[in-house]
Amino acid sequence: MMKSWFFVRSILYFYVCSIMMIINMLHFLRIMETPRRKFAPGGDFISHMPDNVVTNILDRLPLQDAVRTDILSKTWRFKWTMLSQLVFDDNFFECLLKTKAKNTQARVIISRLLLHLRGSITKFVLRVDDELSVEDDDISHWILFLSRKGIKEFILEHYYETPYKLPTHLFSCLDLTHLELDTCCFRPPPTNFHGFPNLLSLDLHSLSEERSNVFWEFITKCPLLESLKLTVDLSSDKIKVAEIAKLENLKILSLYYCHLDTMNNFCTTFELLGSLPKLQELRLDFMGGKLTEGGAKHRFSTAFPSLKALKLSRMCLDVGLELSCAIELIRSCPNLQTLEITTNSQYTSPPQPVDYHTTEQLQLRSVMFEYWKGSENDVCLLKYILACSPFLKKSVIRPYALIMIASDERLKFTSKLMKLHRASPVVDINIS
Amino acid sequence: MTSSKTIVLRSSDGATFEVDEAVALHSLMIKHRIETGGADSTTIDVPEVTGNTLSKVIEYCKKHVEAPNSDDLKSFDTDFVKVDQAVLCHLAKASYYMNIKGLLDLSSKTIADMFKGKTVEQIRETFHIKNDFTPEEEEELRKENSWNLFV
Repeated sequence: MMKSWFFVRSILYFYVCSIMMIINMLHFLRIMETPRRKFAPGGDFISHMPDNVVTNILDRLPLQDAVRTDILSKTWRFKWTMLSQLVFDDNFFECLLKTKAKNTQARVIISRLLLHLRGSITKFVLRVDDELSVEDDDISHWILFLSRKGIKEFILEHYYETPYKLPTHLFSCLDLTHLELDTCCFRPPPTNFHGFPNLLSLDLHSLSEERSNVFWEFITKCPLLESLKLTVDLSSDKIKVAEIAKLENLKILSLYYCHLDTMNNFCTTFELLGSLPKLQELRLDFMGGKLTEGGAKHRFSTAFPSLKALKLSRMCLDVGLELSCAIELIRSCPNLQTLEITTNSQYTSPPQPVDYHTTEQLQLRSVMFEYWKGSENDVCLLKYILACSPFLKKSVIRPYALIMIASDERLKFTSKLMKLHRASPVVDINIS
Repeated sequence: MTSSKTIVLRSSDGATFEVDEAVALHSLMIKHRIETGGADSTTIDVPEVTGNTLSKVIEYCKKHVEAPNSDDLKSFDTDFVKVDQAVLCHLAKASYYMNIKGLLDLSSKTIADMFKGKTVEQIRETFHIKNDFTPEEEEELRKENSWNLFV
């Protein structure tokens, strides 16, 4: 009996082993035939890809890496000369410093590189400061070169003391879609200049030239403009808000550290800008100025129909008039989701009574107050927002540093805020 | 109920794939062929692409057409390109010919990332590029390009 059981067991064992062997063999054979073989991981496929694909890839590399591909193989020679996007930034200049011939100036290298390029150049970024050897004349010649190469995105960060006077060649770059300039100024355009027909985005930082009508003419001749950012405007002329209000396609408007011609009259500013039908993001800097005329006794006649994000810097809410104006502004934006305010309130005055119950609900999702001093009017504004925002998820308050020194002051401040009524059940108030 | 018209795509090696028209239209090349092809445009030849690559391309189009706003689209894309450099090159080439911008950008970006931070020798190794310069030729090249400090 024992013997037959032993015999059966060994036969079973033999069968199981052979089946497993057959399965393994089949698996091995299948691997031999898998389509993976056809991809042949050992092949050089990249060298024979279409030129446009190779250029697409090289455009995404830091310039120095793209140029280096010249010596990969005979096929790879000159593939880099079809580059269409050039970025000469800190990374590039650092690499330049690390190479053998430190004597050859950056301006020479850039000029020589440009001479090799064969195709159109759609993007050019140059970030220079006075530690590099790049001269204004060099940049002018490069802009001339680019104007014949269909340049679309031109970004120049010219961190020198004296602003760079842009050459008139710039006005021949009619394919421009994005123009970003830092510490530059414009020359008057030629008389046959009719604007940049394709310009979508204009970002000017530290613009210092005396603005004449020419500048405003040029801005309004860019009808497709979607984004306008003016920062640190050092000109003595003030920004004409009415001219900006003519740009019907504006989606993003940021005027930071700029003197507006309607500065003292919030209402006019908001009425003009409220007429922009597509405006989604607005940033205004009131420079701590006080409201001297106009008042918001009524709803603004033009609402901001598409405004989603609003950032108001250095708004002075001391006078009740200003507070009601601020509240009226927030009320006028039916789709506002994000609000950031830095107030500049100095002293308290009797707050304007605000009837929270007749106010329509706001769509706000996120609110941030910076340099919060906790004046009566500041608190009033916060109260209004909390009470009327049932969808509010996030509320961040960054107090003005000096208030927070005494810890009991901080506690008083925090508890006062926590007691305010909130319409939204989930709002997270973060005091940092 | 939307009509689920299907299109048959035929690769260079004769493999056929039946796909929803909406998925096929993700390729602007196919869209153009259909629009200009007339009535008899249910089978479209894609002679620049092999069967294996075409099936991957279809997988990409399917995901992007059927669930364009899903949260896992990003992770799908990331996993989609976790493949060998050869597969990536085939995908880039196919998406170029079939005019599928999303896939072209995705594969180009992934290939570009494989270049970054590598020496010339390392790049040759990764992509199996044969250095067909003789040592003399290479020396001459470096001399001629001595102005070009990156070479």
